[in-house]
Amino acid sequence: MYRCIIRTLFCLAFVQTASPIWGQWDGQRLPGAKKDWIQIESPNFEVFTDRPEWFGRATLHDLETLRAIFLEQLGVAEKHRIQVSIFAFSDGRDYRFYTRKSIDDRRETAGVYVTSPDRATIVLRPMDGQDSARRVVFHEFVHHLFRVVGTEPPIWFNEGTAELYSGIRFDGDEVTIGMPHTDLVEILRRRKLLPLEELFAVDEDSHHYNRNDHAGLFYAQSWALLHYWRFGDSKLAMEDVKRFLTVAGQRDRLSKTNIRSLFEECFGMDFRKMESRLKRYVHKGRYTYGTVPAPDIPERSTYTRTDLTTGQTRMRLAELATRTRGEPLGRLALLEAVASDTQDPRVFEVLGSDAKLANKLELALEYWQQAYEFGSANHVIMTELARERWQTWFSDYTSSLRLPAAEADYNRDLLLTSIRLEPEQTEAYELLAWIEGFAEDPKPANLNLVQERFPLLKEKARTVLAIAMSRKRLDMEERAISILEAIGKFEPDVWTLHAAEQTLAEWKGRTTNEVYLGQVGNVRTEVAQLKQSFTRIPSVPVPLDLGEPDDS
Amino acid sequence: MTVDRPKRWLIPIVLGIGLIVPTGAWAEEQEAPVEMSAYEVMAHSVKFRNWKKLSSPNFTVYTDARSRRVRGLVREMEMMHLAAQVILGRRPLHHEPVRVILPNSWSDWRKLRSRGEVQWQVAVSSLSSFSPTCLVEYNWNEDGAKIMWASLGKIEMDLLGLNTSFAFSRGIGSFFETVRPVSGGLRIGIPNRRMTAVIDYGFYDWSRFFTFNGLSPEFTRDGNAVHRIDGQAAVFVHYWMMQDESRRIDRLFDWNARLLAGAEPTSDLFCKVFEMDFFIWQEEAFNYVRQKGFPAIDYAIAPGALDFVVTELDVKTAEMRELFTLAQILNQKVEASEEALDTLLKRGLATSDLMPMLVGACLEWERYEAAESLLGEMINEGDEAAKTHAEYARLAFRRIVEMPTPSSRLSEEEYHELASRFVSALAREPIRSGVNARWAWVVALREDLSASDLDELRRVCRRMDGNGDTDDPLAALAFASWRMGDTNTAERLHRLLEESPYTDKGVHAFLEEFRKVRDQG
Repeated sequence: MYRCIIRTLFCLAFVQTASPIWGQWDGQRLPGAKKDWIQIESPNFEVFTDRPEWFGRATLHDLETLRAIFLEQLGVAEKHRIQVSIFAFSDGRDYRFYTRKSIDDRRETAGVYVTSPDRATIVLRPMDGQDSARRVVFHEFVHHLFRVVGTEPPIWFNEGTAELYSGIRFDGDEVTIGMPHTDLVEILRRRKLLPLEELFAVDEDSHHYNRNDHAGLFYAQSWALLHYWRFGDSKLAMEDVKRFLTVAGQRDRLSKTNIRSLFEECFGMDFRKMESRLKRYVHKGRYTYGTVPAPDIPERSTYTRTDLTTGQTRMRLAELATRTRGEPLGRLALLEAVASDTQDPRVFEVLGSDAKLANKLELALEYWQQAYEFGSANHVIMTELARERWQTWFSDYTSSLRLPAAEADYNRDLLLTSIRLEPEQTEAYELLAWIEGFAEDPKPANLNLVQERFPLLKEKARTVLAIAMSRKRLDMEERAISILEAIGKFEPDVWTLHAAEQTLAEWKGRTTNEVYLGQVGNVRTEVAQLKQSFTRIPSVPVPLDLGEPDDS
Repeated sequence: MTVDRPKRWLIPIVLGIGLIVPTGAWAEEQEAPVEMSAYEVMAHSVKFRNWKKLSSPNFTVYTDARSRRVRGLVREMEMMHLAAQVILGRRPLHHEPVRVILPNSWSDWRKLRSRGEVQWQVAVSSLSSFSPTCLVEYNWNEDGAKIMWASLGKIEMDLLGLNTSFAFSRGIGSFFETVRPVSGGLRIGIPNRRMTAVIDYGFYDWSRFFTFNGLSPEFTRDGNAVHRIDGQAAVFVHYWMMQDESRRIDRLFDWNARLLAGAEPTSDLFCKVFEMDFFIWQEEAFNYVRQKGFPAIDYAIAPGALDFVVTELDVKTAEMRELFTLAQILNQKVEASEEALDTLLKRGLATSDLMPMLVGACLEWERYEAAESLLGEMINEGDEAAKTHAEYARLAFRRIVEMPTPSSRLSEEEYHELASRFVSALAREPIRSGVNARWAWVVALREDLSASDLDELRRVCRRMDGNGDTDDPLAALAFASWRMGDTNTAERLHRLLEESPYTDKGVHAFLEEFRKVRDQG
């Protein structure tokens, strides 16, 4: 479910030749650890920086604004929110240590984005222009937002949207979206556009994507297409654009349809016509942009500042080194802290995440357990712990399972804490429903909490099964049966369907063969004895001419 | 009809008489003592009370469960038989009713399971390809008949004349396992729980998966591997059977045919058939098994299609004992089974209805001579079953020809013996693959080959086109054409077969030999 993604960014304006001098650093210390670092926290982010405080506050305020705008404009909510930490360096050499892939890696990057199971991390290089830095951050942050809202867009839409929002500008009470990127326009004017069919089909293996270069045509055209539809004089109805993107903007929905047909149906034109329009727009079009009111978010002055001690700085940089590169120095520093009986939950969070990525699940759970016990405020940790325990109990489903009271209580604590920390998530509610469904003594208050959240849950069918179980435990058998009989409406997967049928069969005293809770598709009629076969059995084709004698 | 009740009080007297008879004149006239196998002894220890035979056009069910319950099941079996034809688009070959043995939970049959030294096998067994018999030994009363449907689903393939590769066979069983009766018909396509095994344990690499067979260690050993294989097969077949596109069955049949011909299951080959390579297919399959919502399909039965009466007859204890013994011989691959078969062959069967099972048992135990002899008897007594005649012809072919080679020839006497059998078989079922394949060789290997024989071979090829294997008939025609001096046709057909992906290894071996002979002039 979680992957470590290291996205390395190249910004055209800031490509430089690599400096041969990496800087002198003591192998026993982490670069940057001797400097004065501060931590600034806003409602949804934190930044660690050795740059001036105003920079940290400005970076956070920009991210808070972008987050609010993105969620509002796309009409989505964060379903899988994870905590985001930003590290902003004042020294390029320090930055390079934490972000280079190997000692020989000489590429110059403007920033790095890393996701770990429990946290997303953005690392920023010192840049001359604030705008350039902001663009880089925003681009990567949009990718992050797509992930946390639970959407998996095709690459062109992901990159196009990221470029579109990376140009966002904040002007007091207004936010400007759609400022054109001159570097991208330059590329588009110099090069031949990709056919739309090719653009839409780009995936992770495509060379268009693996060039990993924001100067690339693919990125530019993806941006341009969305910009044209949104801000250009395209005369396309926004409803049609939305209709197209509702399907084409999500991989799983797109896989079930033909994009060409969808495109033509939504826009009333084929790919070629749109390609020629886009070409005109790029070469001759006037680039407009839009403004929206600035979102109502806390002022940057309300963010909290903490001056980090040397020890704290060292731990945060050790964390960074471990997350971005699995750097042994970083890991060692964290392990030393554990050996010294640290109670900093964050240390254990990182080590757990690191272990999970190395497929050492048991070790990961041990570390996360410690993090929880030391008061971690990372809801992901608690949900992960609860999920692993759930899998231990429920991998072989049986409706007669009873969770021991201590186990049920422990899981309740984990999940309720997770929900308190992050009420907008979905998984913790789903897991809580299962705990209540199989506890000796289900807690109605917890069930009500789940039911209030039900419309927003992802695994509705499984939750329905769990709620039905809990109703049965509360001696509400009729209600339980009627809940379970409605499970088909929520499109259960194979596992859930069979678990539900098995349960209902037991409750009604029937065999599973007599219970069906899934959907019924087409009804075909008139099945009767076939007089003739209509499917061919493949074999060596018999030629028409088999060498008949010449009768003449 | 009443059930025979063994007259216990007679037995000691009979034995007593046997014991007191002096040696001498009477002793010489006596028959040897009746031998009974271990199974028969076991079978004699119970009464097999309340067994009946419920018959419909395509099924004969032996059961001691309540008739009312089983009648419903029989009608469902007939519905599945209809639905399978329509789904797969093939009319069934002429066949005898499929035998289903359905003991009740507290049945005598079940009691016998716990006795004896033999090991009992799986919950449902499909016994004998010659006389298809589905033996249900799990608690179907409580657990439902779904495992029985899986077995019947595989038997249906045979009834429809379809050879199935391992993956297809396992997948088809899983597909039909979830059949459910609904008002006026059947619901088919409910996803099988087995599919979740690939979520728990992962997929095998597809190129490896399609090489598995019944003897693969992954399939035969204990552990999760067999669940994984079944899960993966279930996903594969379910996905394609439920696609809303007209070519889905053609694709499955094509892939199946290529695998049966020995093709290597490569990604390129898969792409040729399914228009996606293994990489893309893996992603499809991965997402498919995790998708939410699998709409099933209701098949309504046309009025009149089930216009038959399920007849019911009481079964004599003697017949049940013989049935039990035969079932164990077919089901248990142990020494006791072979001994039991010897005993039965020596003594003969009292129940003529079970002769096909005895033939099946002989075939399973490679007693080909005995099988051929029994089949001859059955035919002499008027057996009209297509498979009886087909098997009779096959065994003669095996005896006389064994494996066709370019140097094989049939004397006129041999030809006529075989021809009479094959003509009888074809008259009863004209498109059974194996019969046509062997008949083509009989004609082509005939010593005194003539133009009319070539015509017959052409008829066989055309008849089988789209209805079964054509590689053997075409190879036979190529050979016969060459023998008759038509080297152009021979060469043309030879090349066609060499290049076709549907030509099996046996035919390739023949062609290789044939090429050498032709090159030698």
